[in-house]
Amino acid sequence: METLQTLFAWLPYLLGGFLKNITIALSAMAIGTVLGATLALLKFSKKKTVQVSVSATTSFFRNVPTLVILFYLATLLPNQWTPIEGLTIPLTPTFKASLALASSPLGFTAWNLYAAIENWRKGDHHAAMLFIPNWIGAFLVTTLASSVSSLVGVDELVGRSNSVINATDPKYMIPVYLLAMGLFFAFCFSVSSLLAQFRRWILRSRI
Amino acid sequence: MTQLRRNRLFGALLALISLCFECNLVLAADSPFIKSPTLEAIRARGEVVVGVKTDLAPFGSVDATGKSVGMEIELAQKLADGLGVRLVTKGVSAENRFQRLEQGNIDILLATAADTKERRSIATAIEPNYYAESVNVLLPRGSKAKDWSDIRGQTLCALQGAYFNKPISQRHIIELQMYRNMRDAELALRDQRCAGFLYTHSALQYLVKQPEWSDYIVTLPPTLKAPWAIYINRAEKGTELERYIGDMVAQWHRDRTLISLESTWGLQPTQFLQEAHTLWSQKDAHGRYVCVRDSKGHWPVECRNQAFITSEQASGIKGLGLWVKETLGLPLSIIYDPFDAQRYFFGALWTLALSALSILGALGLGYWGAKRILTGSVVSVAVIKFFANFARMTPPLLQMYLVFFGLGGLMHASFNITLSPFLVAVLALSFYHGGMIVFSLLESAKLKQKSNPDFQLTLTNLPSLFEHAAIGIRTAINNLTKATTIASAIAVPELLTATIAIIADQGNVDTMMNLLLFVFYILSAFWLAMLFWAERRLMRASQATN
Repeated sequence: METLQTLFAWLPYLLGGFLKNITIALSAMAIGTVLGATLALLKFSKKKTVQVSVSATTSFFRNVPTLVILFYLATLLPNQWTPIEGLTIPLTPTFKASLALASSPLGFTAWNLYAAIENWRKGDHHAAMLFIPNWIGAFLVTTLASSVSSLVGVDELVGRSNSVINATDPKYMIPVYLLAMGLFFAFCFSVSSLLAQFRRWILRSRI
Repeated sequence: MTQLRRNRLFGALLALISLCFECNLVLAADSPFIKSPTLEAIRARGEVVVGVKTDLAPFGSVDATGKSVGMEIELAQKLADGLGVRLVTKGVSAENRFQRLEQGNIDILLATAADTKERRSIATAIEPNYYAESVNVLLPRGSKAKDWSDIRGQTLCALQGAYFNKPISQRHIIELQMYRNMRDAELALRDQRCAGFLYTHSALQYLVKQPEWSDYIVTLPPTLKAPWAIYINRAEKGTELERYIGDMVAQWHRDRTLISLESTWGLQPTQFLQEAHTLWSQKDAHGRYVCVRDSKGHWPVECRNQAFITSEQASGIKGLGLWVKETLGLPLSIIYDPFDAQRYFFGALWTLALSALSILGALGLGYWGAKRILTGSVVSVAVIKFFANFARMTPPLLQMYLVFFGLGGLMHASFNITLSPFLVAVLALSFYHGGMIVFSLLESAKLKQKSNPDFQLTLTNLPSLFEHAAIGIRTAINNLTKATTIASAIAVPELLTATIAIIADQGNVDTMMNLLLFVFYILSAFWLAMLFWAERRLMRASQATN
C-alpha cells in the first residue's frame, strides 16, 4: 500500500521521463529517415562510386552500436555550436541522444526504402507498402533503445527511475523498475497491436 | 676630454635605453596574465558554473532538499563571492568531469580531482593544490586484512575514472569491477559482489561513521597520496582566471581557511594542509611572503608541487606504439602501454564471450518459445506469448538493472547468493532478442502451415523457415552484437568499459572512440558472417536428409 502510494506520487515525474524517450525516438526517426531516404535514392544512381560509397555508409550505420555512437557524440561534440558569429545553437544531451539514436533508423531506411521502391516498380505494391508498418516497428525498437541515453546523463525514464530510487529507498527499486518496464511495454504493445491490424489491412487492400 | 664626454653621453644613452627596456619589463610584469574568455563570460552572465561531486560526502553531496553541500561547495562559494557573481553548481562524476570541462559545460572543476601528469595535458591545473588525499579500501567488518598484500588477487569494486584505479590494480594485483556511480558501487559491495570498495581514504573514514555503514571498516594503511587541484579549461592556461583562483587558494592556505573547513566537515587533519599552511605563510627577513608570484606570474619553485602522481609505466613493449604516437600523432595507448593492452584484449574477449553465449541463448529461447506456442495448451501459449512480448518490448538495460540490482539484492539478502554481472547480461540479452526471434519463427511457421497444414516446427525442418524468418533473425542477432555494450552499465569488463577506463586514465578520447567504432564494425560483420555460415550448414544438412 505504502509502495503504491510512493509510486503514485512519483508517477507524473516518471511519465515526464517517458515523454522524453518518445520525443528522442521521434526526433531520431525523423533525422534517420531523412538521411536514410537520401541514401536510398542515391543508391539508384548509375555511377559505380556513388553506389559503393552509399553501401559502405549504410553498412557502417547498421553495424556500429548506438551506445558507442552515443558516447562518441557525448564526449566529442561541444555543447554549443556557433556556425556564424552571433548565432549559437546549444547542443543539448537530448539532442545528441536523438542524433546518436538516428543511426539505426538511418540504416533501416536506407536499406528497406530502396527495396520498397524496387518492389513498387516491379508492381508488387503490397510488399512495398509493408515499409510503413516496418518503419513503425523500427520506431518501437528506437524507443526501447532510447533508454541507454540515461548512461550519458539524459534524465529520461530510466535515469528518472534511478533518481526516484535514490531519493526514496532502495526497497522501492523493484517496484520502480517494474513500473518503468510496464510503461515501455504498455506503449509498445498497444502500438504494435494497431500495427498488426494495419499490416493485415495493407495485405487485404487493393493498391 | 671630448672623448670622455662622448663616452659619458653614450653611457647615459645606454642607461636610458636600458631603463626604458626595464620600464617595459615592469609594464609587462604588471599584467603577465592574458585576458580570460571564460572570466569575461562569467562576468557577463553574472554567474560562475562550478562542477562538483554529488555523491561524495563530506566533499560534495546533495542534501534532502536537493541542494549541493560539502567542503568543496563552500570553496566554490568563496570563489564566486570573490568574483562578485552567483554560484551555480553542476554535478559531475569521476567518469565525465574532464569532458564536461573540455566541452565548456562548466567553468571550474572542483570535484576531488587529483593532480596528475595525464590530466595536466587535458586541462589546466591550478597551483597551489588545495588538498591531498590517499586511497583505502572499505572492507566488511569480519575482514582480517591488515595490509595491501592481504587482499592481493581479490576483486574490489571501484568507480570508473578514478586516477588510482590503474596504479592500485597494477601494484597490488587486484581485480577491479568498475561502476559508473557511487550508488551502483555501494549496492554491489552490499551484495558482496566484491571484497571491498576502493576509494578516497577520508571519504571512507567519513562513510564508516554513518549508521548505515557501521558493518564496514577501514583497516589498511592509506596509500598513493596525491595532491588535489582545481581545474579550468586547457585553453585558459596563463589567463587571469588561472591567476585569480591560484591567488585565492594561496590565501586559503595562509589564513587557515582550508584547515578550519577540514575540521568543520569532520575530516581528520591532514599533514598536507598543515605543511601547506607553514609553507605559504612563511615570510622572509623583510616580512614579505616567500611564496609570491615572480614577474612572469609563476610561483617560486620551492612553493610548487613537482611530484605528480603518474600512472604511466616506463617499461613494456613500446616500440611500435610509440612510433605510431610520434609519427602519426595517435595516442594509441593500447599498443605502447602493456596495462592498457591487457585490459583492451580482455575487453575484446569478454565482448566475444558475451555475444557468443547470448546468440546461443537467444536462438535457443526463440526456438523453444516458438515450438511451445505452436504445440502447447491454451494457458501455456498465453503465458509464453506474454513473456516473449514482454521480453522484446522492454529495454534490455532495465532488464539488466532489475535482475542485477533488484533481484540480485533480494537473493543476496535471503539466500546469500551473488549473481555474476556477466550471467545477468547474457540472460537479459538472450531474453530480449529471444523474444524477437520467437515471433520471426512463428510468423514464417504460420505461413508454411497455410500451404501445408501438417507442418511441425522441428529442428530438421527449421531450415525451410529461413526463407521468411532469416531477415528477422539476422536483424535480431545484429542488434544483439551491438547491444552487448549495454552490459557496461552493470560492470561487465567488455570493450566499452575498457575503452572508458583507458580514456579516463590517458585522455585519448578521439583515438579510443574511433578505434571502438572500427572494432565494432568488424565484430558485427564477423557475427553476421558466422550466421550466414551456420544457415548454409543447416540448409545443406536438411537437403542431405531429405
